[in-house]
Amino acid sequence: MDQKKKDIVPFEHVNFNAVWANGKTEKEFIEHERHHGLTDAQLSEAYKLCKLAQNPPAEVVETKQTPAPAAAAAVK
Amino acid sequence: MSIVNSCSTVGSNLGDVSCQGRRETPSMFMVGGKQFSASEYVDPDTLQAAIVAATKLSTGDSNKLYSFPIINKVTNATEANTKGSLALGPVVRLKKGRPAYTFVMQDLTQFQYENLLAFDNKVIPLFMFDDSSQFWGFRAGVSNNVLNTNPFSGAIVRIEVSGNGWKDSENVETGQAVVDISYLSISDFEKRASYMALPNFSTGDVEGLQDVSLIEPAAHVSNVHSLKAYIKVPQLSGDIDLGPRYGAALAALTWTGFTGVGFATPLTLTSVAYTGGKLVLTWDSTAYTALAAATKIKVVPPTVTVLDTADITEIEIGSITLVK
Repeated sequence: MDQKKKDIVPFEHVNFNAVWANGKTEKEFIEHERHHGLTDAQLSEAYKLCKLAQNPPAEVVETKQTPAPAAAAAVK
Repeated sequence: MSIVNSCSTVGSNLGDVSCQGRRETPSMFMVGGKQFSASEYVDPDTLQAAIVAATKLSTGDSNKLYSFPIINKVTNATEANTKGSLALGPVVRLKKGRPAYTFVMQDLTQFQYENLLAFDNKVIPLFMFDDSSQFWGFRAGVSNNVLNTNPFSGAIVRIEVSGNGWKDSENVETGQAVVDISYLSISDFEKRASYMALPNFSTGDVEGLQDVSLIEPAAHVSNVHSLKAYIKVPQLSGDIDLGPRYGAALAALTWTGFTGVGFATPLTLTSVAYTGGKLVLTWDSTAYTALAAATKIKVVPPTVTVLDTADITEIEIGSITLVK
């Protein structure tokens, strides 16, 4: 199951539109948002956070296996 | 009197139900088009929550309620009944007086009084909260053998706002704001008044919202526009900048933009920041560049409900139209 997507990603004093950023390349994103006074490294990190917010990793669900009766008896 | 008569069909049984309420002294009233459904007035806590929610809706929402200031004096201004009689006959009521009341609201600021004037000489539904914690309005009746689940709405009144002039140094009442209300329907007032006791409700739960204006403090630079949010007041140089207190929180909420006929075409905001005391809005440069010069862009701020959820309470931010 996917975790809930986030549409706004706060980074430093700026709140980025993750939906928009998800459709842009990193280079396009950095050039577009450079006026906020963040360094390119910071903008690169913000871009990655936006991508992650829009493409969250699938949640790992651990399932507990119940041993079959025969197997359980063998353990005893 | 004749033995054969219709007297038993004139009226109705007059037995009372103990502990039912009656109209007491008004404390505060709210106006607006909100109609509470039966599920919203199923119990006091539910109705109270619905009332508070209605006061936090944005202007333009048909379910919004506006709460007026606390009432400090009530005068019954109901018209006198008009009576007449023939030379030898009994006195006959020719016309029933229309219910009307005058409320004095003490020491309102010029700021608040100016906002009250928006309701001057208007006809609007009104809910009254009295000093017995009863919330009064109107509910249409139903036929017999049917439980009444009709919507609970305000009773229609005409409102007039006046006063707030100079004081005369003699009488406390001089110079105070005066709000007159007159009920349009005597029948509705007398026959259809409905109420619910709200023991946990207080007038402070529904304080009126403050209007906030967005202002563009400087010319935009390409697709980057700056805004400041102010509460504009009559005091010279006293306008209140919300930035220092709420700027960062406002920037973190969802803002939207629209262009085109009727502002129906969305324009994407790529980021919102609070920088240098200003909200900095950045539009998608490709879409922005494609707009003709002097194109108007309507900025729609977060709604009252969204602001309230973000702990930015008691304000409503109006939209602003920017020009490319």
